[in-house]
Amino acid sequence: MNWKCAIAVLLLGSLLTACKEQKSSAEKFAEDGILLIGNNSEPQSQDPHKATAVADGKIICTLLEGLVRPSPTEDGAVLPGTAERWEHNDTADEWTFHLNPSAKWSDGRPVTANDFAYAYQRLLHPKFAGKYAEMLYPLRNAENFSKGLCNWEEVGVKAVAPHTLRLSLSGPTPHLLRLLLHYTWFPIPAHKVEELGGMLDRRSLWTRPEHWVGNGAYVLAAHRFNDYLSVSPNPQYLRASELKNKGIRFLPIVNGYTETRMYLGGKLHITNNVPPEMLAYAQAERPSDFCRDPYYCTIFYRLNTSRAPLNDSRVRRALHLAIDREALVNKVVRGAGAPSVTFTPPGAGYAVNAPTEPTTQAEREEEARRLLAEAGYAEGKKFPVLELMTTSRDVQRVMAETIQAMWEKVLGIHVDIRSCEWTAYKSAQQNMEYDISSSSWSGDYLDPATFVELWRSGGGNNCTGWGNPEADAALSAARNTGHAEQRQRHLQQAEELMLHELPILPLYHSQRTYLRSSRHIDGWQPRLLDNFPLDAVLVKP
Amino acid sequence: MAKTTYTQGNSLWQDAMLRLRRNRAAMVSLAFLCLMLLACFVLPLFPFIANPNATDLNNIAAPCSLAHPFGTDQLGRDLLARVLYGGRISLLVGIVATVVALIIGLVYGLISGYVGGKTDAFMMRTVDVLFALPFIVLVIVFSLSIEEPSRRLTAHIVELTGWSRESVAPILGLVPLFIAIGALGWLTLARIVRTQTLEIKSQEYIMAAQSLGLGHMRILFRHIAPNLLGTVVVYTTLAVPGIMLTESTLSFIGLGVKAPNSSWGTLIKEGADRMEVTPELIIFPAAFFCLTLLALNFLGDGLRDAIDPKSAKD
Repeated sequence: MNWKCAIAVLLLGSLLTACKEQKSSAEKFAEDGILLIGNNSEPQSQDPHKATAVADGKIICTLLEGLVRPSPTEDGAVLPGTAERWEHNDTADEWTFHLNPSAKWSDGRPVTANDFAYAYQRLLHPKFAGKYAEMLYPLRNAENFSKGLCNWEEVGVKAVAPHTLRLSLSGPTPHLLRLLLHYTWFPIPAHKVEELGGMLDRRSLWTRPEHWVGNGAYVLAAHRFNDYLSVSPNPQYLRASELKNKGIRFLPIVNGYTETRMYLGGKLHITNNVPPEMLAYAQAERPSDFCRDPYYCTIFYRLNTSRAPLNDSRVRRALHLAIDREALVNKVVRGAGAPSVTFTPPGAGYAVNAPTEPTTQAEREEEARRLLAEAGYAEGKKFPVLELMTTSRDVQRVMAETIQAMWEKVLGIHVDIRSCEWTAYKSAQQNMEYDISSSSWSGDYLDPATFVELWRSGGGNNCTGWGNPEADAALSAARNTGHAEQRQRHLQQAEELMLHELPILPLYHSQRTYLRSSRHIDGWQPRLLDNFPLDAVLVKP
Repeated sequence: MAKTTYTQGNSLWQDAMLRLRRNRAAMVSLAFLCLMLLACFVLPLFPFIANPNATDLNNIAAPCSLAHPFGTDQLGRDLLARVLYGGRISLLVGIVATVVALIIGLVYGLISGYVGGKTDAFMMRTVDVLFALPFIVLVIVFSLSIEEPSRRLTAHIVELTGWSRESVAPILGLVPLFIAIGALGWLTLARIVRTQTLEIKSQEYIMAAQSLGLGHMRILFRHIAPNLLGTVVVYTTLAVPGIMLTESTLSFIGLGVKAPNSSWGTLIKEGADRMEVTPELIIFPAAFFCLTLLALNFLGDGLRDAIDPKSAKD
């Protein structure tokens, strides 16, 4: 055989190997038992006291475990987590949790009641300024402490023994266990945080993969900016043997089109969201993988009420009435939810009366023009150019363009659309450097308070500059009453006051549409709060 | 009486035009570009082209029809109108930013080459430094930093002239883009101009002009610059596509034109997202964009062959 022949054989050989079918990454990772999940946006922080985004919450829930954990078989049900049992008094305002003595941090140290108390003190501390501090306000004196009005000793959290935690609440809270599922109630490793800068150091590096210590099913393995964040099983975890997979990789893909395409190309096991226009396509392409689940979530616009002319409630109502929600939901976001003029989604036995408004869209638009003229901007003349801020998510941009056109047509006013990358969007919103902000809020727990509490004056996630003492009083009254019906009424009252002044424009209650591989994934169930425990997801090759 | 006939010799430019006219690809491209300019700048003035920003939620993603020759987009806007208005912006950015780059690059290169010595070394090292910086990143930083002043400028102009905001904003909103791309796109041209200047400077007629006592300005702009024109024209036609591509890149990442206005770049991006569902949304803008870029490249090639026959490959 001469050398030419040899080269020909070599070339042919390499061609043949190149032609051999490549395994998709979904298949490859499934063989290793690793779950690939689309997670919307780049995570901001794995620190439960700094995170506020849904994407962060999903990651934190795999890394840390609270007193209780969500049941993988029944939506809304609660199983023992770090606490093995608990009891409460007759009025349900004093709860005692007994921690599992074998619960350990990933560095082998035991999880103690002090780790919980330490975490709560950190989140509530006025110097730490946690955005989610209100989540702990059901604790007695928590609000006063976070406003610097009392000492930590007066707050209703006591580590009575190394493994016994007592929570005293400001009012009867029979639904406390549901609240505890949220990551703001999770413990943090006090010893590690102290070692790396102390309790109040907001820039502490304890959440970096090289320092990470947690008590959840997984530990932080790697984080590559805008690429992925991966977690691997925590051998010290209480129920390490019950883990159904061997790790999770969270991919921050903001663009739903890209994500859906990646899924169809075999690069993901579960996606975060299928955009409206791709619903029919995705359903036809993968009928057995397509999911449409109810979701406890509202899409709305925040208005910066500290800026003129949005400080005028007539202007806000004009903007509100000029939006044709039916058209928006049915034509643009294509049934990704139900149009709504109220904020809290239906669920948990709560419903708020819609404010009295004209019913037909034509009448609404007429009223909107009248209100705008009354505020001094007849036909939109002299109305300043406001900026409508959205994330770079395509659905939000399309929605913004639709509403921009509606306002232009009905009111004769022009708004500029500014689409921001997620972290820039988030910080502009927190610092109130916006006019109108395209927002969404998904419930942290299955209770209307998770929505209504948002609009407490000065609340960390309020971000509109709006506040009403009467509404605040109603919220506090709701918190302090043990009577379920009265509580509902107080919450309704607070929401109605808010809807009357409209610091926000409610748009629709959304649904979750996503793709989930029926070939590689088992044991997945829809959850109203989208908080299915990922350690119970079986990944099969 | 014997009659003397003089044959008028062809000038260099006439020769070039002749050669260009014989290049079929270049001529077709030229005609196509003229048509495209007419279509984008004149056609939308007629009432049968719809308002590109008028949404019609009852007619979303409609297929091609008589009322909407290219169909409608995801918000029921007429795609033909959007492609034409988008072309306006893309072409405008391409042309204006090129002119800005041209002026800066020409003057910079001329001075550097003519003065020579330490000044030349310094000016060229500056160019080297700017070359080493990533172009897109610089454009982004630059356009963000002049966004606020240009917004104020828009407000002033609207106030002074009383024109409607809708007519002014789409164009004035692009000013940061013009300046940013233009102000950073002149580097290659400056180098080319400098090299040419060095070559021309050493020729005898320049020496003659100098010995006649002509001023530097006169020599630069009367005797050197015109002889550079061929190279510059060729470079310009080839630079426009590059700049249009930069604009699409910037619009693609959300820094170029602002919604609801569109450029070809944004239209292609929106179309690419919906590729599987409504392919028309990407086919039409992409076809317009590609054909224009191709035509510009053919024309540039043709011009180069015509002006500098030595460089022709055939």
